[in-house]
Formats: sequence, C-alpha cells, structure tokens
Amino acid sequence: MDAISLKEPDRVPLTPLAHFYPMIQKGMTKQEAMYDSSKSAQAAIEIYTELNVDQVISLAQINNGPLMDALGLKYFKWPGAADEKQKLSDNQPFQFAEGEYMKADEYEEFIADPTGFSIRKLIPRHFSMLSFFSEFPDVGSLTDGFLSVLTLPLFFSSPAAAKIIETIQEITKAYKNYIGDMIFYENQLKKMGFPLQFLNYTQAPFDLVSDFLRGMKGSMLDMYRKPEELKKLLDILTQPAINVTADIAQLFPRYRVVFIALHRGADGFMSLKQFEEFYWPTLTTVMDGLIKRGLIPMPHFQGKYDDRFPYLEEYAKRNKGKLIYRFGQSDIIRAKEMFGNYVCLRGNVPSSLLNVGTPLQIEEYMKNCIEKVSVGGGYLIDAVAGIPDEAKPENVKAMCDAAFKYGVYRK
Amino acid sequence: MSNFVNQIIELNEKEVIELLKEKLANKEDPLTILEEIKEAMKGIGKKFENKEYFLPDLIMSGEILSQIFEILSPKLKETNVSEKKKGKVLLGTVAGDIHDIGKDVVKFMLDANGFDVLDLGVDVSADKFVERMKEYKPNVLALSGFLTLAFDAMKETIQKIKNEGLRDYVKIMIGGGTVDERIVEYVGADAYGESAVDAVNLAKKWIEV
Repeated sequence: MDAISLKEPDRVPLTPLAHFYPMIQKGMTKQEAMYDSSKSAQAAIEIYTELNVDQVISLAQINNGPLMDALGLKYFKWPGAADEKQKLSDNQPFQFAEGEYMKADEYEEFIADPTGFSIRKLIPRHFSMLSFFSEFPDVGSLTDGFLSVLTLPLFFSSPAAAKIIETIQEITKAYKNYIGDMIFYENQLKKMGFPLQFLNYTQAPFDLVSDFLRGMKGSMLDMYRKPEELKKLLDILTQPAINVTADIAQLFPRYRVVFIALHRGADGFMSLKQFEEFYWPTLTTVMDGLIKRGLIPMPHFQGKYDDRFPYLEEYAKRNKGKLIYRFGQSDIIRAKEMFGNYVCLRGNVPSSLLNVGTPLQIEEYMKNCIEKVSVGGGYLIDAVAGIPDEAKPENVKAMCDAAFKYGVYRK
Repeated sequence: MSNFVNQIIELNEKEVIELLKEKLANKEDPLTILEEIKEAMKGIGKKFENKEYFLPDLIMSGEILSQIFEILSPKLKETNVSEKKKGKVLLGTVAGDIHDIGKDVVKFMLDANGFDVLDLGVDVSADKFVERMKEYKPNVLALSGFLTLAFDAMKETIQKIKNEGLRDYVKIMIGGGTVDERIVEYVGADAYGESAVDAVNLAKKWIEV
C-alpha cells in the first residue's frame, strides 16, 4: 500500500502475474491444470512461495475446464474441451475465440432493452448449454402479472428448457469444486503470508463491446459505420462496469485493487482521435466510479501506450496516489519521468527476455528499472504479460532475486 | 489523384461504391480502374507508415476492397488479362496458436500490393510448412504468432526448413504480439515486422532486389 500511495516501502514489492507457469514447473500439462484445480492450487502454492513473491495471483487466471464444459462456453478454445469445436491439444493454453455475438443490425434492439437482449440472445450465444434462455419472457409479459403467471411456466415447460435442472446441477457441481479450490488456495497462502494481488475486476466499456458483443473487427468497423449507436452502447455499459465490482468489494473489503485488462486502446489499434472519442472517456468514467467507492483501479495497458501518455498523465495528476498503472511494452522509465509522482507503476520485464534471455540480462534489466522507477516509492515489479508459461525458471528466479538485491530502499 | 482514388483513401465507403458503379456504367476499362485501386492502396499504406492510419483503417479499407472486387472481379475475368504477381509469400500462424486477425491483415496488404499469398491458416505444424514450401516454392515465408509459445514453434519450423536444405531459398519474416529483435535471433529468422506495412516493405525489399 505504501508503494501505491507513493511512499517508499522497505523494499520494492514483487508482484508478477502468471498463468500456467507454476503448473508447468510441476510437470503438469495445460489440460491437467485446467481440469484439476486442486492439483493446480498445490503447484501454484509451492512455486509462488519458493519465489517469495509479495502478492500472488488468483487461481482464476488459468480458468476451469469442467465449469466451461458445463456451460458450453463459446468464446474460448481450450485443451480438453468436451465440445470438439472448442477443443485444443493438451499443451495449448486457453485462447480467445473471436466472434460477433451481437450483429451489426441488432444495435437498436440492444439499446432498447439491454438486459432482455443479454438474457435472450447473448447468454445462448455465449453458452451453448444455456440456449433455453432464448425463450425467456420479455418485459411486456413480466410486468403483467396476468401474463407472467402463464408465460414463466411456459418458459419452464418448453422443450428447450427440458434439461434445465440437469444442466444447472452440472454447472453448480463444477462451480462449487472450483470455488472450493480457489478458497483453499487463498486461505492457505494468506496463512503463509502471501496475500492475493487482487480479486476484483472490471473492463473498459469499449473492450466489453469488442470482446463479447461485436468482436474486434465488428467494433472497429462500427467506429466508421455506426459511431452514434456505438457511443450509445458504450454509455449504457459504463455504470454496470462500475456496479459489477460492488459484490466483491463488500465481501472482501481488504482487496481494494480492481484489475482492468485493456485490449483495444493500445497504440496502433486505433487513432488518437478514435481513442479520445470511443475508448478513453468511458474508461475514465469507470475508474472515477471505482475511486469514488474507495477502490484502486489498476488498468493493465497491454501492448504500447506511449502515444497516449499525455492522457495517462492527465488522469494520474487528477488522482494522485489513487491508482496503479500496469504496463505492457510501454517505456516505463519515460512513464516514471512524466507521471511517476502521481501514480504507482507496475511492470514490465519483456516476455522475450524471460523466455530466451539469460539471468544476467534479466538482472541488468531489473537493476535499471528498479533504479529509475522506484524512486519515491510507486513501483511494483511485474512482467509485460506476466510470467510467460514457457519462461526459463532461472530467469524467473533472476527477476525475483533482483527485487531483494536491488530493491531495498536505503533509509 | 482522381476523386475515386481519393474517396478510397479517405475510406468513404458509400461514395466509393457509387463512383465504381458509375465508372462501370460508363464502360470504363476495368484494368484502368484496377490501377486506380492500386494507387489508392499505396496511399493508404503511406498514411499507415506516417501514423495517420491504424489497424481499424486497414480493416475498413479491407471491407471497401472486398466490396469493390465483388463488383469488379467478373468484369476483370471478362478482360482475360491476369495480373503478373511480384512474388510468392507463404503465410501462416504457427503450431499451438490460433490467433489470426493480424495474419489476415498481412495477407490482405500483401495481396493488395501485388504479391501471390498462400495462407495456411492457424495452428500450422512445422511439417506442414515444409511440405507446402516444397510444393509452392515461395520467395518469402511469413510466420505469425501471438502467444509466447509461438517462439519455440517458430524456431522448430525454421529448424526443419534448414534440415530439409531449404533455408537458403527463402527469406523469413516473423510477426505477432510479443515478437521482437531478440526473437528473430532466437528462432533464426531474417527480420520481424511490427505491422502489416512492415510485412509489405520487407517483402518488397527482398523480392524486388
């Protein structure tokens, strides 16, 4: 917390993100890791405690196969999937499967009834086992008791809904197993002195549109073909993106950091004009909402954001000591110069260095980062995309050791 | 620069299609129109190099070009002249990785710049690359990969090409999210590109020499 509020702690905190790295170190395939959350939890506990990180990543980072099978999830492909169309081989990690889950001509429908559309069209398109939701009654009959007394039972008795009970039981079983292992993981690590990095999470409204509604291609073309409808959609999604953090914030008040993985706003992915018009305003509104609730936004600027640094600077200056900027491939040293006095920076060892570099190269990179970025507090050590699955263990060790060798603040 | 070329460069979809239909109604030579399209593509490429245009603009130009060719292709077939291609590029996303958007944009740009492109799709094994290289005999091999697991897949692919004695017959470019100069050296490629325009410039440099 000292680092975030820009005071010098005893030592630069070591907070790397990772996905399958611990499980691979313990000889598991990715398929095994996704289908045996108990074994994955064990592997992660052993490896993170060995590396002596300051905060650990949640088990949710590798996703859970049985739960995704029970839902019939469509927007990922992963090793061991029950559905052949979603299946990858045992050593491939889960990968995002692009799709247009809302068609270009469905803007009006969504805008008129966002929840209705989400229930009747989005759920079935995202989860093949939940296709019966397409028959769910609409607001017309739900707001009329004389109708809903019949339309709801009709929904439950429809042929599409015949397997509801069985489906829900499968989902619940998978969910309870998974959550059980996640809770065990968190409790065990907390007992050993390793808290989680974060539990709370939300997205930039544009990324919601790009990831789960229109697809990347669709959302980009909409900037030209349907700019006003797109902006309306982004507005509709903004308050909900703040509200989704309320439950976890209430249940776990000690976990104030909210992770926001940014996908489409990076340099090259849109012009500055498009960034200003479509991406940044609703994202900052979401972050404002989080800060107002006493939460700490941690946007993860994946890829490069160097061209957008003036925007990041402006926002940091308005919110000194209240957020963390996690960097991908941006120049973190330049970031420190421009706005390091206002915001905590986290990053940013390159993936290529961790996979194919040497411990000495890593040590040099870390020494440089720590010397330049940790002055006055405000630095958390991490890697560009987290520790890559295939990272060489001696390199990971070099990264972690550097925190202890070079990161102690002389008082 | 004609209005038609300008409208394409400015990505004014409706105007472009209207003008195209007008030109065909006026019995303009489809090959002349094709030359204008190429000029427009160069203009778009220039804007991308100058950081005025970005990925969404390339995707939008792809949409416009698809619509143009849907209308123009039948007319081009009638003229019975096929365009001479500058060279051949074999392209694919390496084994283990299923990301394709960047690769598709590269294919589109190479195609639009006069190269013959054979796209093998995603999750392409090293063996398949070697097999198709022997059949297709490309001047350039372009390997795409977004995940970090792609590094080793690229290395294995290039190693197999070396083992088959084919390495000297082809220039190899790599591209994708986490690829950099360090990875070029690691996998044994000739260069990497950060964007589709880089891919075109590399292909031009290697083939037109």
